[in-house]
Amino acid sequence: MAESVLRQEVRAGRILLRAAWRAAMGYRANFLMTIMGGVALQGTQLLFLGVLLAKFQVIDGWRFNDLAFLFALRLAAHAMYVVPFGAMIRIDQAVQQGDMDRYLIRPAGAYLQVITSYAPLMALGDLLLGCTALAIFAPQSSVDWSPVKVAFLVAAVLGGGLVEAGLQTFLAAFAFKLTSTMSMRILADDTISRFSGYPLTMFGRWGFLSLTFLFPMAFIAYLPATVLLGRTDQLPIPTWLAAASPAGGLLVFTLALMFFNRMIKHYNSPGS
Amino acid sequence: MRERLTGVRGLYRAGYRSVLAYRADLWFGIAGLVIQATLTVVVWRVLYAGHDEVAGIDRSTAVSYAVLAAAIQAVIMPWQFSSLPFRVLRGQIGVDMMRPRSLISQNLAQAVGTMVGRLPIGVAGLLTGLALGGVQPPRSAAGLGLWVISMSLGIANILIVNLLVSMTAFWTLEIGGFMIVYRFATAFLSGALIPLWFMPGWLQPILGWLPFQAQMYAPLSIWFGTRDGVLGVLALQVGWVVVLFGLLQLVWRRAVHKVVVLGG
Amino acid sequence: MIEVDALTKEFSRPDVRPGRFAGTRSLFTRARKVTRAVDGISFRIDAGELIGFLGPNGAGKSTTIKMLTGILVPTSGTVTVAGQVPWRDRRQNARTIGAVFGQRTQLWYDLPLRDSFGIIRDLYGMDAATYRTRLGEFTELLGLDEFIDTPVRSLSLGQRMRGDLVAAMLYAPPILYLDEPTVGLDVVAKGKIREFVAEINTRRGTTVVLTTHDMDDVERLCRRVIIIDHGVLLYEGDLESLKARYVTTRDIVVHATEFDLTSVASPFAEVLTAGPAKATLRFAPATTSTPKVVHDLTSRYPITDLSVLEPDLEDVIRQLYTERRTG
Repeated sequence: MAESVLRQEVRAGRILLRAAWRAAMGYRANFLMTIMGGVALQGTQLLFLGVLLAKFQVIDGWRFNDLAFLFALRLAAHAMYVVPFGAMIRIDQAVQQGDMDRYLIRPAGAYLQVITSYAPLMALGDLLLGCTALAIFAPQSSVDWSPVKVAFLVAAVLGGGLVEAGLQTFLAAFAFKLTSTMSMRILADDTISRFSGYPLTMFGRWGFLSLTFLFPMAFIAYLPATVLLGRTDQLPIPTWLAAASPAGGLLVFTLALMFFNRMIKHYNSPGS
Repeated sequence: MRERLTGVRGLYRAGYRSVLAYRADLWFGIAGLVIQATLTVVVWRVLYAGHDEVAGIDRSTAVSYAVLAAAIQAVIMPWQFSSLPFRVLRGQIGVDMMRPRSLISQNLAQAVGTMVGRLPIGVAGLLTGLALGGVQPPRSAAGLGLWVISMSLGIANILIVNLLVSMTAFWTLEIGGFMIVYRFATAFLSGALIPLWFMPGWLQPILGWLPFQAQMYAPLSIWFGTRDGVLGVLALQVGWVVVLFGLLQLVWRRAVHKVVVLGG
Repeated sequence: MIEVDALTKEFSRPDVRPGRFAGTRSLFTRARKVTRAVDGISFRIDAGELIGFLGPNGAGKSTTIKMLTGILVPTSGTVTVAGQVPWRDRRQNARTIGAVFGQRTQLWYDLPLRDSFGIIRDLYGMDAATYRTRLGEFTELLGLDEFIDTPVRSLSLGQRMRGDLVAAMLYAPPILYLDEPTVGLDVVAKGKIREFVAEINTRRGTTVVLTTHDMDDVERLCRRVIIIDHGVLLYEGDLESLKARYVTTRDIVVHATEFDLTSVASPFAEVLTAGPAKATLRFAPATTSTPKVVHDLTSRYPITDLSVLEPDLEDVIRQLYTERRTG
């Protein structure tokens, strides 16, 4: 039964996604500009880092090439979040304007319908930037690449995307209770954008631990990067936990999704 | 005149109230800036480890600048800086144009209201910076006075440029991507993210001749007294406001001819 | 088919108090106000019924319908639709019901109508042949062919509503919920929609639950009605007995061309208005039969035209509400 539900979801997801992209293609006029928006959104952070490193060279003992790799890893992970889950940004409207009504009476999961409600064109900009940055900076980093490490990198990027998706899903679930969750989701997104690409141990032991267990931003890029770069000795947590970091995304996302589905019962459809 | 003021005041209040209406938004804005100001202080202190001065700027000035810029940015560069594109898209702009106030003063009043509503966020950021010992006060009372003047000119500059950019909506309805590029470009070019001191040498003169540095970098450099010829800076800021306002009138006049009312 | 027992829904909303600094103060207060939109309603609807669900604005109609469809979770009480609890068995429920909400569309806004139907076909896993015949049938019934290739955002309200109806019935759900389907529509569109609803109810045996403000809809379509106000049930039963119970008088209008009706009188009816050419009289059908009054009048006066006015449902309902409120 559980498997058949999953199969149904995958099928429904494909159908809805196709519809969303077909609708998005109707507005082709600003396709390029929209993608550039995606590039600018994260690219500014890359620019910021570039300008700083040109003047300062080293941040907390990390040199330019490894920092750039860490940052590229977070950009790629971010793309893995925004491309499939980007439509979640409109959760407040879906709840306030009653689109949720429709999602709740169709034979597919409500969450699935939220994330397939439109095609986030801008996410293609993130994807472009993330892949390019990773392709450029991964070879230049001091990682000694092997097939296993490449596989770990892929898992880390996917897992990092799921961590972000999980955090955002968790916050989005509050849309059923609060008037607006936009600012809190922007806060999370902004904090991740600005700070998840740094060596997080620089924020001190407690800072690092809260960014690992409380707001698990460390799982997005920093922990996997320390594993690849052989820098796990600077972590105040066991090495195995860092090594298992790509799986963190699956855990965070699953918990968040369960929470989201539980919160649906608080939905107050507008105009009733 | 008096009647005119009350009308504009109503719109100002609407902008201010719309910020307060979303209580949670404001609290998260405050919490966010407190967290980010804290992290920013740490980042800059770590950056300066092993340096006394970089590009002629010492550690405490750099940290102060970063925190102050973040606090000011939170107030005067809100994500949602104009309702104009949305109103054009929804065809409500026709109604706006029939009101007895000009659309320009309506929008400016609303934007100012939004900024005032967001003041608590900036204050929270500033207090965080002070608590962490990360913010230096201006060098003198005169410096503070000059900063107030310069900051007001910077805000006027932002208001006008924002409105100018929003007016693109009269020509094309799909401006989401463009708006984001604009937002991040101004954040970068105005010096809200990185002070112009640290920018690469070839970029600095270009930035100096763009209107954006007059929004944030100019007032902050007066705060820290890092620039000679304060009067020259102020004159340049005034010049930009005048030029941009002229441009705004020009674009506005053309926009009126082009009102596309969708689904009205 | 649908069983509702002691159904209750409460909403809790922030309580905004007006006054000076109301906005600033609201930053710190957490006062909430609980309102009960639906208050212990029970009823049942049998398979194949076409039932009118009536009530003034804010009576709790939409809230009830949303609980029946599984959109809202009840605060207390139970709903069973075709043996399932709608909000718990959402996926199953989705295949059992179709729904049309007047104010918002369920269609894909940026795509042509035809594409929306295609998506529904795929989503509900319909086979191509059934889809083709059904869509063909519905297209003819509702006259969709002129606009089936138009994007939904460019459709008129009436066209969109017809599209929504088809979308809700394509997969042939045994139950159809219609929430204000004719509001704001012109006479032609209203007629088409009524025809369609009557057709699917009689020919296919679809159970239809209809909420509306339009008493014409009700008179033309419904045999039985449920009336609620302030979240409580006011009346449940057939339309005829509702009228019989609340309409104790009936009016008769007579015309004459060669006789002055100013002095018209009858032992069975009371004169309301009397002019030279036209008079209106009122009688109580419970004690006096209509033919008796008609016979009395036509035998004594040279009447050229006569009509008995049907009781106005709107008056009936209005009377019902006021009675409840004052009583």
